[in-house]
Amino acid sequence: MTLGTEFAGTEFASEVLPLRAEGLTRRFGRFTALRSVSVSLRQNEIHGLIGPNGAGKTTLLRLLGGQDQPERGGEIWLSGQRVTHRAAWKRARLGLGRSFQRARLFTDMTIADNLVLAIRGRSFARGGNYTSGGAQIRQAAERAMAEVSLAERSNELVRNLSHGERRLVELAMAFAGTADSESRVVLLDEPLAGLGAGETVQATEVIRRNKNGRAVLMIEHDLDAVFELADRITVLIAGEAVVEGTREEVLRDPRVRAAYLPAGGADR
Amino acid sequence: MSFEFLLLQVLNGLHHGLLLFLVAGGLSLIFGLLGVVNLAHGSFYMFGAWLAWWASGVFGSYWLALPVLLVLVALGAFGLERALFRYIYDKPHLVHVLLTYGLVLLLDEARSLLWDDDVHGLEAPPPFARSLELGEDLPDYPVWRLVVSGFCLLLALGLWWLSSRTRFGAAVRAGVERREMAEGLGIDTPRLFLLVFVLGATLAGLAGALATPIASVYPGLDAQVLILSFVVVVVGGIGSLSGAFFAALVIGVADTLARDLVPAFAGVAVYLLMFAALVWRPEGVLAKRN
Amino acid sequence: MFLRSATRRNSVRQAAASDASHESFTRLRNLASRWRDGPAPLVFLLPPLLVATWFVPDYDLQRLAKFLIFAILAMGLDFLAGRGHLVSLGQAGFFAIGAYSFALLAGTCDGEPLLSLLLGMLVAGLIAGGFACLAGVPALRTRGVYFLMVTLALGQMVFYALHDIPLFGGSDGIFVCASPRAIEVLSLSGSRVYYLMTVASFGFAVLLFWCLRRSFFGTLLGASATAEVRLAALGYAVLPIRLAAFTLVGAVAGYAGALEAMRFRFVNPELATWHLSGLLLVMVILGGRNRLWGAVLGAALVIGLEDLLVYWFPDHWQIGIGVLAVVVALFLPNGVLFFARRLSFRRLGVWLVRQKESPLR
Repeated sequence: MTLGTEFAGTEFASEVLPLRAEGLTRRFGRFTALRSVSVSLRQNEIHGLIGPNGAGKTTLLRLLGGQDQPERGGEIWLSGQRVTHRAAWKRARLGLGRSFQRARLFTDMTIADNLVLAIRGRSFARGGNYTSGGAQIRQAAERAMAEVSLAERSNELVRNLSHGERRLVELAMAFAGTADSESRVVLLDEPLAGLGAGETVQATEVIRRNKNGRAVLMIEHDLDAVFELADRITVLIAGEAVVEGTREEVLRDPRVRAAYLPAGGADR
Repeated sequence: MSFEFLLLQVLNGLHHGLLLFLVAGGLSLIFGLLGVVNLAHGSFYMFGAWLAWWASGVFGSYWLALPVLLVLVALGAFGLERALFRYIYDKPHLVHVLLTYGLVLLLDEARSLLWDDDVHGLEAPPPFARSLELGEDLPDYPVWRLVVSGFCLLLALGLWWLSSRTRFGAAVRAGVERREMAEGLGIDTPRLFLLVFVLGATLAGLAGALATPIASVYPGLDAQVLILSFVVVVVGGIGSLSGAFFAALVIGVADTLARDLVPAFAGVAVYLLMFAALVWRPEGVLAKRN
Repeated sequence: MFLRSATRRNSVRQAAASDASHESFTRLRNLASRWRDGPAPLVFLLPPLLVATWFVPDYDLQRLAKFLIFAILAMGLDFLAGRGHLVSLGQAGFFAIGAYSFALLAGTCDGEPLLSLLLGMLVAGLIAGGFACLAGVPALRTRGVYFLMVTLALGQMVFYALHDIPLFGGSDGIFVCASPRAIEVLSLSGSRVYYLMTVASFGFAVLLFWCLRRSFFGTLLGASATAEVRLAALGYAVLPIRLAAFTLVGAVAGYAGALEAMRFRFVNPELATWHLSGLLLVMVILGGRNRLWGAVLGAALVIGLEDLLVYWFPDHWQIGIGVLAVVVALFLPNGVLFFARRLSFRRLGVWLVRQKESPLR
C-alpha cells in the first residue's frame, strides 16, 4: 500500500491497482466534457470525486463503468486488465459494481429480487451460472438488505419505495455479494443525494463499512460527507482533474478554492 | 442494358427518393419531436394521391385540385391531432402503434367508402403533359417527373431554411434534442406539436398528389409508402431532416435500380440495404454521433 | 427458486395491499392473478375444445383453429412486447416463413403421416427461428421506435421475398405438397385430426410460455426492459437474452405458421402482411399486456369480433377492428383482463375531464 503516484503508468502499478484510468477524454460534438483525466483507485480506500455541476463527474463514471466509450488515447485497466473497449457487463464480471445517479432499479420486482439479480450477476465472475449458488445468494441478499434496514420489507415491490429507500437499495446492490463473488471496485454516483437525515447516516455507514477489501470511487455533492468518508479526493473542474490528494491538499489548492468552495461554503 | 438507360433509371430513382423525402422528412420530425410512432403517416400520402385524382376530376383541373386537397389533408391532420394524437404523446410506443394502426384501417376503409378499390390514373397537368424523346432505345421521359423533382428540391431547400434559419425551426430542433429544454425555453409545445404534425401530414399529402399524375392511385398505397419511409428514417436517423434527405435519395435510387437489375429481389433489396446500415451504425447511418 | 417464488407471490400481494383495504377484495385479486398467470384455466378450456371436435361443424372447427393459432402467435408476441418491451411488428414475417417452409417441405418426408406432419411443423419452427436469429442480430441493436420500424420492415421484406421470388409462386401462393397419406390423414373425418393437433399445440404453447414467464430467463427479459443499463452493469449480457427471446418467439410463430398452412393446405404472401402483425398487437394489448392469458383472451375477442364483422359488413369489416384499436389505445391501454391496474370506467371519466385541460399534463 505504499505505491505512490510515481509508479502510476508502469506495468507494475497497473497490475496491482484495482482500477486505473489514463488520459480519458470525451467530447460531445464541440463540447469537451472530459479532457485527459487520469484517476487511480487503491484497495481499501474511498476516493472522492467532487466538482461543480457540469464538471464531467458522471461522464467519467460512465466511461469507467462501460456505459460510454472514451475518445482515442484514453485507457482503463481493471485489476491490471485493459478494459477500455469492453462492454459494461464484461467489466461487471471482473468485479466492477456501480450505482446510478437516478436510481435504476427493476421497479416491478421486489427488493429481494433486485438484490438476488445483482449478486447472481456478480457470481458469473467466479464461474457461476444462471442457476448456481441459490442458498448462498439468498443469504447474501438478506445480509445486504439488513445492512440498509430493509430486511423486513424485502418482499416490497421497488415501485412502492420512497426515493430515499430506492437510493439505499442502489447502494446495497453496488456492494452486495456472496463471500466469493464480491464487487472489488465500486463506483457510486451521488449515493447520498436526496436522502433524509437518518438515511444519510445509514448510507454513510454502509459505504464506510464496505470499503474494506474494495476500492470505491464516489461522486458526491455533500462536501461534509466527502471529507468525512474519502481517503483521497479528486477535483474535476470543467472536464479537467485539477487536483488530487488528501482533504488538506485539496483545500489548499487555490483553483479549487476559487472555482468550488465559494459556492459550497468557504468555512469548511 | 445501356449506360444511358441506367442513367435514366438513376434519375427516376432520385425522383422517387425526393418524393419519399417529403413523406419521410415529416415522419422523422414527428418521431423526433412528438415521440409518436405514426403508422398512419402513409395514409396522408394515400389521401393526397386519391384526393388529387378525385378533385382533378371534379374541378376539371389538377391545378385547382392541388390547393383544395392540401387544405383538406391539413384539416384532417389538424382534427386527428386535436381529437386523438395529443392524448397519447406521453403513452408507451405500444399505445401509439395500436392507435395509429387503428387509424390506418379506418382511413383505408374511408378511402374505400368514399371512392372504390380500383386502380386509377391521371394525366399530367397541361403545361407539362409532354414527354421528352431521348432516343430509339430509351423510353420517353415525362416532363412532369422533372418538374416534380425540381419542385421537391425547392421544397427541401425551403424546409432546410425553415429548420435552420427561423425561430420555428430552432424551436423544433430544441424540442427534438430535449423536450423539457423546449418547454423551459418558454415554447408553447402543444402548439408546436400541432404545427409539426399538420406540416408533416400536409407534406405527405403533397407528395401523394405530386406522384399521382404519373404513378396511378390504388389501394395499398399507404403501407407501401409508410414502410419505405420507415426504412428512410432508420437509415437517416430520427429527427434529422438532412439525414432523411440523403437517405431518401439513396433508398429511392436503390429501389428503382433493384427493380431493373434483380427483379426477383426488387422488394427485398431496400430492406437488405437497411440491415446492412444497421449492422454498420445502429443509430442511423447519417445520424450524428451522440 | 427464491427469485421466482418471491416475484410471483408478492408482486400481486404488495400491489394489492398498497391501495386496497378490503381484505376480501385483495384475496379475490390474488386468486384472479394466480389464475391469470398460471396454466390452471387450461383445465377448463381444454375439455370444451376437445369435445367440440365431435359436435361442432367442420367450418366452425376451422375458425376455432384460427383462434388457437392466433392465440399461440399472440402469446409469443406478448412475451416479447409485454415482458421484454420488444414491440415487434414483424411477427407475420416469421409466421409466413414457417407456413411456406412447411408447404415446401411437408412432401419430402413420406413416413408415418402424423409423424411426418409433426416433423414438418418442427422443422418449420426451426427455420423461422433461424431467420429470427439472423435478423435479430442487427434488429436488436436498435431500441424502441427503431426496433419497431426495423421489424416492420423485416416483415415487409419477407412479404416481398415471398411475392417476388418465383419459387414461392408469386401472389397466388402455393399448395402444401404433403404426401398423399398425410393429406388423407388431414382430411380424415373432416378436419378433426388437424383440429386436435392445433388444440394440442395450443396447450403446449400455454405451458411453454408459462414456464418461460416463471423462469430466470423470463425474469431477465423483464429486467432488460425496465432497466437495461442496470442489468448490463450487473454483469448480464443483454443482447443474448433478447436474441434468445426473439429467436424463440420467431420459432413459435413459424410453428404456428405451419399449422396455418395445414388449415387450408395452401399458403400465399398475405400471411406476411403487416396488418396481421398489427392485429396481433391489438390482441396483446386488448387482453392485457404481460399476462399469460391476456394474449389468449385478446385473440379470442379479436377473432370473434372479426367473424361477426365479416358476417355483418362483408366489405368493410375492417372499420370495426380499426375502431376497436383506437378505443383500446385511448381507454383500455392496460387491457380488459380481470382486474386491470386501473379500471377502465375511471379512465373514461378521467379522459372526459382531461379534454378540457392541457394534453401534456
